[in-house]
Amino acid sequence: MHRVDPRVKIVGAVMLTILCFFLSNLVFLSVLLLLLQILVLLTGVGWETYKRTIWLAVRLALIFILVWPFFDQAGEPLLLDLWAYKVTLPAFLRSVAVALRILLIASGWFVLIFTTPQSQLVRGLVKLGLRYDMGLSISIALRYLPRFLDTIEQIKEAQRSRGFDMDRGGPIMKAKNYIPILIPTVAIAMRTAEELSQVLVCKGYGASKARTYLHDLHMGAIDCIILVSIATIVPFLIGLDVLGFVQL
Amino acid sequence: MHDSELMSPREIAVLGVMIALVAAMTLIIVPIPATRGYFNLGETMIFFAAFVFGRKIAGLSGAIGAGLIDAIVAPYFLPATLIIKFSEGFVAGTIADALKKYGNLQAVRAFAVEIGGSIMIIGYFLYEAFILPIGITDGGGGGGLGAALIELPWNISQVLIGGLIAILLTTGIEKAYPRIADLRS
Repeated sequence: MHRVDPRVKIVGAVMLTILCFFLSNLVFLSVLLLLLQILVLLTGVGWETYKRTIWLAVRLALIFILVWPFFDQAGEPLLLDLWAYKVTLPAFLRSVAVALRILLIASGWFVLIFTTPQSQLVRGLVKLGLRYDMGLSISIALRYLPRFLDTIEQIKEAQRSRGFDMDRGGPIMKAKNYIPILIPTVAIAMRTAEELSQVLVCKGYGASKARTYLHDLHMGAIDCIILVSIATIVPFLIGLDVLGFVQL
Repeated sequence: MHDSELMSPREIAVLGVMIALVAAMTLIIVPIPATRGYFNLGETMIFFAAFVFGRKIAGLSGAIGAGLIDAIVAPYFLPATLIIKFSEGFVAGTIADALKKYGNLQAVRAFAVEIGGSIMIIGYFLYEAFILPIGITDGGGGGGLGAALIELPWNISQVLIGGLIAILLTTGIEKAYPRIADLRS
């Protein structure tokens, strides 16, 4: 999984997401979800990490199921009747379909994100057509994100040691308390931007439109097979659904 | 020497740093449980970018910054986030720039937040109510409205608070770091 070309994984995640918006059949959704859990297992990523990442998806899925009967009460038989809250079996199954869809998309992107190092991700996007300068900005962002998060923590500590209490007050006050943290942080970020732009000029950025790479991406045989399979099966299925031959 | 189609080194650096700031602020706050799992200050950075750097940087940093985080924690929102956050930043930046010359800067920025923020609130509402459950809700009414309505107060607060902080932050930065004007196109 980790050795699969990032381009294939990116295309896979995107195609899966597109496919999901056409899927409403509970059987198809469940089978695909199961297949994806196998992929997740194959990533070798620990259960703790998976649990933490997927938890938000599970929560949203449950919320959809729970509140659905307030607004969709169509169909028979009626399972539960509590004034405005009427649960019918078909409506319940519809809410389950949405829940599975959410979980499916979450699983697919989990596989992509947790088996692809950042540099490969950006390289893959660029090779798929993203403009090289945008890819550079994204690489810069990924590199400085942890650093800025640390900076914010450091400044929080510094302000706290000066007697600044960040935790008092309601949400509005708490948010406003971030301003003395943000001003230095943004100032540091802007200084970083100044330095970075000078570094880029020094490194000869823009001298030639075509860039060469030290480590390039190569598609192996397996990559090609997977890519071709995804790129043909998914549009084919969607086509069948659109034309009415199959109810996805 | 420099290709005119590509961004300048300065723009690339500013965009990279703004993406990182939007992403960082999107991660920073998680105090209130909600359907999206977080109430965040990402909006602050998007509006800040709109006021200081204009619509292109604001739109792109909003979309990519929030998109990066969503790809990890909420990929089912990714299509919406990319389009909505880009529009939010782009529109706020357009309004801020267009109305700058009409005097009261705070009022102009507040208006930009209002319009840009409305795009975000309405956008996510429609996405959660009708697009996420698309093809399924045709069966019976607007089942997705439930989840969308739950989300509504959080999104509204996020925009209002994020926008307020952004306006205060921008004024603060312009005083503390006037050199920031050099980084503008």
